[in-house]
Amino acid sequence: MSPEIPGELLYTKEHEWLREEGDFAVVGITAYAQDSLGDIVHVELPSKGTKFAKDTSFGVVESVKSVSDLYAPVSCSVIDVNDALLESPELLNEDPYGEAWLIRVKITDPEELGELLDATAYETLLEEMAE
Amino acid sequence: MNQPGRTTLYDRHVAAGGKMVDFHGTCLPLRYTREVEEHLAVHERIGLFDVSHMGEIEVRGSKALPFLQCLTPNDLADLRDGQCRYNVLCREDGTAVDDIIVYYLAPERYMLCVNAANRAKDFDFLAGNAPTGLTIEDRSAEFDQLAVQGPLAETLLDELVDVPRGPMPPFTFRQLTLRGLPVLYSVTGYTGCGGAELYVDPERSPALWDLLLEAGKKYGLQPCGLGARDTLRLEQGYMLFGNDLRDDTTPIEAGLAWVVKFQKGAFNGREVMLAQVNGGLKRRIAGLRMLDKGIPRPGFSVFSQDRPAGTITSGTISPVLRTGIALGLLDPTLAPGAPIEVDIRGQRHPGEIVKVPFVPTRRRKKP
Repeated sequence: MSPEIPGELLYTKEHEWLREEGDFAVVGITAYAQDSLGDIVHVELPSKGTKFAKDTSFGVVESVKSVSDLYAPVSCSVIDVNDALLESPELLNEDPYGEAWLIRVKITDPEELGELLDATAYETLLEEMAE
Repeated sequence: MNQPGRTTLYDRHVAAGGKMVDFHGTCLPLRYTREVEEHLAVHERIGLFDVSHMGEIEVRGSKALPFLQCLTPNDLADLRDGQCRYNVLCREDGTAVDDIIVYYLAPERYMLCVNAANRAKDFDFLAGNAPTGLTIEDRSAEFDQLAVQGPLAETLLDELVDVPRGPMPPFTFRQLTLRGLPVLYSVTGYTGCGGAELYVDPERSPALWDLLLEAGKKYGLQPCGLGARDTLRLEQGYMLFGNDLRDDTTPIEAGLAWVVKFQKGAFNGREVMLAQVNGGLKRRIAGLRMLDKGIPRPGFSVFSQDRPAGTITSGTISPVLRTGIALGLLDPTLAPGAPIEVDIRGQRHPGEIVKVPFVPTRRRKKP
């Protein structure tokens, strides 16, 4: 059973997704990521206004077994944070593309969007990893 | 024959949706569904674990008892037919080689259930110390092992046993048949939730697995992976060799003083352990519980009144308590109730020293 990969999103090799909204974007983790992690029990997210360079860690997601960094898909500044995840981290297992978005950001350099994977390329990445 | 690195039940694990991982050279399920779901199934009902990776080493000969008495701090002199006992294999300096369960099979015949990762090390240690005339035999290939754990486990097993087994206290075992399948039925486990561990001929383990799955359905039996096994043992404060009890710690340092029977006579490390008990202890495994949402992990530093107080050796979130719990090799003067802080990625999080088990041990319950 292959994990869901919505066609309208962009992806990173670190299994984050990005939904473009003009100069802004919403960032989360993929269905594959939450399935690999297992029960997600703790999330640490940045404060509003924090700036991140592309591929730097903006937070942490912890499952029962492991601790994983969250990486900024593009350089950005954080304009909103999904505080609901701090109380209910299990939402990341239940609805990773919807209710369990992580942060909303202002994109610093829109050209970096071109370096992200589209749904087809991300699917290929998952297939290669499965081999 | 087993394929290399796979237990007999590999195909069944994959078919059941097991997420397979390499655990010290054996391919085992980390989980089938979710760790927390599997953990709670064991806590409330029954979980079924394939623990065939565990090793079995037999020690036999007229010198078997004095030999084992010398290499371990627990007293085996009064162990009789049908009894087994938790123990620690120790070097001359008192450091631990492995934690084991010793089964008394017959006069001058003992079987040691050992950790998978330590099988070769234990065998070499035993063989290297064995006097002439003593036989040390690795019989691991002869046994698969299924752990049936949880408050309803014994009820299920009673239903399957061919001849009523009568009362069996913890740390007893017996040769029984379950619907015609011969097993060594051992009232032991690594979950603190009651139940048994069944040693079985690998040729019969698939049939036993299928029987337990089918008959366990009405009790809500859940196949469980290594993830749940680890959180369950940690809620009980049980040692994991390599994390809490290690090659460089003695049983006293690991908080296993109850295993060390100084009055039994000479044994490896006795003087070292005696000195540690008499005030020479610099560090000791203790339990701690977090007071915020932080999750302690192995390697994190612990502080007491702003001074370094040790290191976490095992840590996770407790699925039952829903807070972070940990064992740590800590300053032995810290008593239950003492406030501590854990450095989690550069931030100090509050916690306190607590007694283990973190979650009360559960016994059999009626369905």
